[in-house]
Amino acid sequence: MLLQLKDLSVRYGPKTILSSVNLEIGKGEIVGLIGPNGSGKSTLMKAMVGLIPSRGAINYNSKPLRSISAKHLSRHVAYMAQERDVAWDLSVERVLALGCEAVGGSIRMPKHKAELEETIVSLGLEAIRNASILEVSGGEKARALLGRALMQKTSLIVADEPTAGLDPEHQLELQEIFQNLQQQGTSMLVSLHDWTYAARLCTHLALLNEGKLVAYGTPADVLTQARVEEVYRVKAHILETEQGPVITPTTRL
Amino acid sequence: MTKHPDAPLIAILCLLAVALFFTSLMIGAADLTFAQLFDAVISADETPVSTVFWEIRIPRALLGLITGATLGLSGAVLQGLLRNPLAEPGLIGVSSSASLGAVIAIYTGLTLTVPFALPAFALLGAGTAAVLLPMLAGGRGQTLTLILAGVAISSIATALTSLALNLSPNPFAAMEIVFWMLGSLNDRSMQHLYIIAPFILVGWSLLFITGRGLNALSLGEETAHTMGVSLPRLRFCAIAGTAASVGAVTAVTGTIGFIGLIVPHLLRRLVGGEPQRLLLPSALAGACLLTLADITVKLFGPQSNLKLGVLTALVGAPFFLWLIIKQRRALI
Repeated sequence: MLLQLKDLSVRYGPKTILSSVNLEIGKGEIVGLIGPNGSGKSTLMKAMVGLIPSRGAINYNSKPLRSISAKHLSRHVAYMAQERDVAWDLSVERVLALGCEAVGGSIRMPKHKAELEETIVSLGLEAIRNASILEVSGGEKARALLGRALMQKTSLIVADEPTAGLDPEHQLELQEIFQNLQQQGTSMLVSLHDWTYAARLCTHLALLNEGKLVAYGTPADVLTQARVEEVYRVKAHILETEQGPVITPTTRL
Repeated sequence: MTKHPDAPLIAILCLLAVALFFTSLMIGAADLTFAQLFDAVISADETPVSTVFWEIRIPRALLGLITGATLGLSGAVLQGLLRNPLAEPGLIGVSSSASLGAVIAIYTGLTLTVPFALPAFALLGAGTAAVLLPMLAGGRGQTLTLILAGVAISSIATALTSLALNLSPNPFAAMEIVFWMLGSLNDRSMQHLYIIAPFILVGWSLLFITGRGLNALSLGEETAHTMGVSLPRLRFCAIAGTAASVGAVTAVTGTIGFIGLIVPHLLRRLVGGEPQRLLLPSALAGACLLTLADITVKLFGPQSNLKLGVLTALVGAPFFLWLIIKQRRALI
């Protein structure tokens, strides 16, 4: 198993944010992390990559996270934060190159230069490769920051709300990118708010509510009418189509 | 391997620094010609000219280069660390604490009885600030708490310096304190350079190794951590490196502001925003700018008594204002 969480708990002072979460991610799986605001999605992701202290076990390839240095971990898992604030005026290409340099590479070496070119093409960033990251659109910035994570060449990518602020076209584009990565054997843990998107993109869904994992399985198993009503406190309309389910919230309960 | 993209700029700055260094050697209170100076260099005899050259002009020119390079480099590192273009070495309280140390040495009269008490006390002041800063900022030491802790240390040091001035035993001590605080390269000897050399070397080494971490930090603290950067180690290198090198130069020259703020800004226009690429050019440009400022001070002549720190502040403050206006426009 690529990643294994056993009894993972996170507390901030007296407040329990995550309570005994058990989760496994295997090779080539896209696991969607869903749940209402404040259910603990971002906290789970941050704990997984060692950004915040936690209790329980986090194992990468059966090795405990505690025994893996930050440097070593960056070769196993790449993290795309919800925060997309870049401090300085860097070109899109340089942002991608930072991912390569983080794991000891250099784009001055032909092998890494080729990887950079390949990633730029696969993310459709050719036209804006020399543009400033501070001046590109939200969608372009999200793709560039994803490109940085991809350049770390890890077997697992953890992305916190990668579709936030993206228009439908860019959301679908990102879906294609994730699915291509999956076909290459990369695993992903992605937090999402859009049920339809989650159901179509992910191989598995993990539903969090009030810090607890309340359901895990295929999208069809997890996103049932009853569960959506119970966890999100809204009525939802689920329509099965050829492209997958369309799940729309209709009224508040 | 491709050529380094900043190689031409670095070469130009190196040449400029060398040119300014020699120009600085040529200018001074004593009106000496190039031939006289050249004779003094090659001659083994000790003449008044050779004394002026080796004991006055060489230390001053070297100190100018070292001080400018230190301020430029530490400014670039701190702006990268704090992800803030308005950061400069003075912000973390090292300069004002070094000043306080020096003022205590003058105030207590130790400078009159113990050789090099002034730089020693100033170094002690800078060291104290470097130890206090992470303690005040807390274990995780995030950007905002680091800035606040720096401002607090700086305010306390400035208040205590004012107290020393207020309670100064005689007007001469007060005058000495004020003149020292204005910052100058005048009347510094090679002994001063020998004292600060180890601190400068350690400081620069720590500052130069922050480059890769600062690059990753451009994308945010959380992202940098997941890119394999140890943030506590990065902060240690930046703060200890600044304390050692800026503390050392402040110990000898007094407070010279704005170089650390201005230089990375000017360079960012030429090399882009990448923090690592800014380090070496900022050090070189800092050396050039400070040497140029010192040449200007020397051109005013000894009778003008213009202090280097005053000149850099006079030029730097309007630049700082312009920066704020530009920043405000960017926000609108």
